[in-house]
Amino acid sequence: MDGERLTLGKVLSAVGLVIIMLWTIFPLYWVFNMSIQTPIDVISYPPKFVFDPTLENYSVVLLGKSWLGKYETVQTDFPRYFLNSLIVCSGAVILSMLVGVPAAYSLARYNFRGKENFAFTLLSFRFAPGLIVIIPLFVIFRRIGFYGTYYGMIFAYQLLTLPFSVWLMRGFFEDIPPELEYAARIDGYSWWGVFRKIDLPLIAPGIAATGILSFIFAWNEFLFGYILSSDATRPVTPSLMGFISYEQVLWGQMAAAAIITLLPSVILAIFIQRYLVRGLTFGAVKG
Amino acid sequence: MSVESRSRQSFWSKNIAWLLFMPAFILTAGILIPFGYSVVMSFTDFNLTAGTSNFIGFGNYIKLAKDPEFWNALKVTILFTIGAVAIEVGAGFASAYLLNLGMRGQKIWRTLFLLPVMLPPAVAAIMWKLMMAPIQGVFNYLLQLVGLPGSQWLGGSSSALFSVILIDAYVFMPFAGMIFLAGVQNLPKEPYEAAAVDGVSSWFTFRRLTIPLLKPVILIVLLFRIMDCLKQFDIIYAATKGGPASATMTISVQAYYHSFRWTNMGYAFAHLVILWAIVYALSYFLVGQWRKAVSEVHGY
Repeated sequence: MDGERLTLGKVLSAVGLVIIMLWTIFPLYWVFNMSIQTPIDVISYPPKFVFDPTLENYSVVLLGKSWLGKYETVQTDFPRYFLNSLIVCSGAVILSMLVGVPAAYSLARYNFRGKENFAFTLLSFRFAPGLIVIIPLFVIFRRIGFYGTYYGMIFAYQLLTLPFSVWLMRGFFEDIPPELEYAARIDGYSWWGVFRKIDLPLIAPGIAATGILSFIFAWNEFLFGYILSSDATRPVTPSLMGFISYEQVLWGQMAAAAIITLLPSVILAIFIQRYLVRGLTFGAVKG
Repeated sequence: MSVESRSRQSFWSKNIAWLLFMPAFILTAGILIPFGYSVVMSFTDFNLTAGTSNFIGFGNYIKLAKDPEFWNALKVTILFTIGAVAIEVGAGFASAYLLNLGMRGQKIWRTLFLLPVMLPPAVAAIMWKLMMAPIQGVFNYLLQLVGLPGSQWLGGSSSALFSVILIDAYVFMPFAGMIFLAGVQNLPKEPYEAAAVDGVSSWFTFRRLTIPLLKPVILIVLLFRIMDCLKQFDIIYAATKGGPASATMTISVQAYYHSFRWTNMGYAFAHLVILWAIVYALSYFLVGQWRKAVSEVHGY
C-alpha cells in the first residue's frame, strides 16, 4: 500500500518535470528550428518538424547575402551591431570593475558616515523605471553631443552594471574574514600588499562572476540601447526590432538573429551557474 | 621619514574609505542628475517639438488624474504584475520542489531549467511572438492537435495581456524557482526530524514549518518580481508595443509614447514619477518585511 502510493507520487513528479522541461526547452528548440528553415518551410502550415535544414538564414543575417536573389532581406548590419554590443558592454563592465572593486572593498571593510545610505541609494536604482533615467539622458546627450556615441552609451550602461557590481562584490569581500588581513598586517605587509596577496586571490572568482553577470545584463539590455544609440552604434539586442516590421516575410531570419543574440548570454550563464542565485538577488540570497 | 610625507600618509590612511568609494559614487551620482531632471521637468510643459518648458505647477498631475488612458495604463500595469507574479511564484515553487526530489539527471534538469532567465527579455518576446502567430504559429497548431480552439494571442484585445504575462513568466519563472530551490536546500534539518518523530502530517509540516522558514526567500522573490513587473518595458514593447487598442498599454509604455512619439516630455515625466513613487513605496515596505523575516528566522 505504502509502496504503491510512493510509485504514484513518483510518476506524478516525473510528469511534472517533463512539463517543466517542455515549457523551458520547446521555445528554444522551436525558434532554432525556424532559424534553419527555408522561407517557404518557415511559413508552411502545418508547421514542419522534419525538413531539409539550411544555414542560409544565418548567412543572410551575418553576411547580408540575399536568398539566392529570390527573397528580400532587411539590410541590417548585424555584424556591426554585434561589435557595437561588444564595445559598449565590455566598456561598461571594465569601468564598473575598475571603480567598483575599491568601492566594494571600502563598503565591506570600513565604516564611514552615511555608508549604509550610500549603499542603499545604489541599490534603489535597481528599482527605478528605466525611462525616468533614459529620457533625460537622451535630452542631455543630444545637447552635449553624446547622443549615439560609444562614450555616452558606456556611461549609460555602467549606470546599470556599477551599482550591481558594487553591491555583489561587497558581499564577496565580507565573506573573507578580516582576521586574515590583520595577520598579514602583523607580518609586515603594507595595505596594498595585503589587498594584493590576501584579498585579491580569494575574491578573484567573485570578481569574475560579477564581471560576467554584468556583461550579461548589459548585453540583454534593450531600452538604453534602443533610445541612446544611432544606427552606427546600435547594440544587437535593440537592433532586433528592425526585423519586426517585416515579420511576415522574414521569420527565418528573425529567428536566426534571435538565436545569435541570445547565444552569448546563455553560454556565459552556464559558466557562472553557481553564482546565479546570488547574483540575481544582489547577494541577498547566498545560494 | 620627513614631516611632509608623514602627513600625506596620514591623510591617505584617514580617508582611505572615502577615497576608495568616491569614484564609484561620482559615476553613479550621474544617475541622480537625470533623475532629478525628470522630477523637476514633470512640473513643466516641456515639449521637444514645440520647444516649450514653462513651469505649470501640478498641471501635468491634474491632467493625469483626468486622463482615462492613464487609469487604463495603471489598471493594465497592476493586472500584468498580479498575473505574472502569481504564475512565477506558483510554478516556481512547484519547480523547486520537483527539482529537489533527487530524480535521475537532476543536475542537467536544473541547468536547463535556468536557461530562460538569461535570455534578453526583448529577444524572448520576439521568440514567443513567432510562436504565437495566429495563422502559421506553432502554438495554435499544437492546440488544434489536441482538439482545442486556437487563440489570437498577442493580436486579440482579450488575449494579449495574458499572452505577455506568459512571456514574462517564461523568462522569470526560473528566477523564482532557483531562489526557492536555494532556500529549500538551506533549510535546517533538526525541526523536520523533530516533526517526523512527532508524526506530524506533511501538509502541517509544510504550512507550519517550511513556509515560515522560507519567508525571507519568498519575500525576496516577491520584491524583485513585483518591482520588475511594475516597470516592465522590454517584453511588452517588443511583443505588442502596447496594443492592440491599449490592451497591454502599461504606464512605462504609455510614457514612452508620450515622450518619443508625441514629444510631450513633461507629461511623460509625470507618468514616470507616479510609477516610481508606487515602486519605491512598495519596495520600501517589502524590504522592511524581508529584514523582519530574516531576523525572525536567523536571529540577526
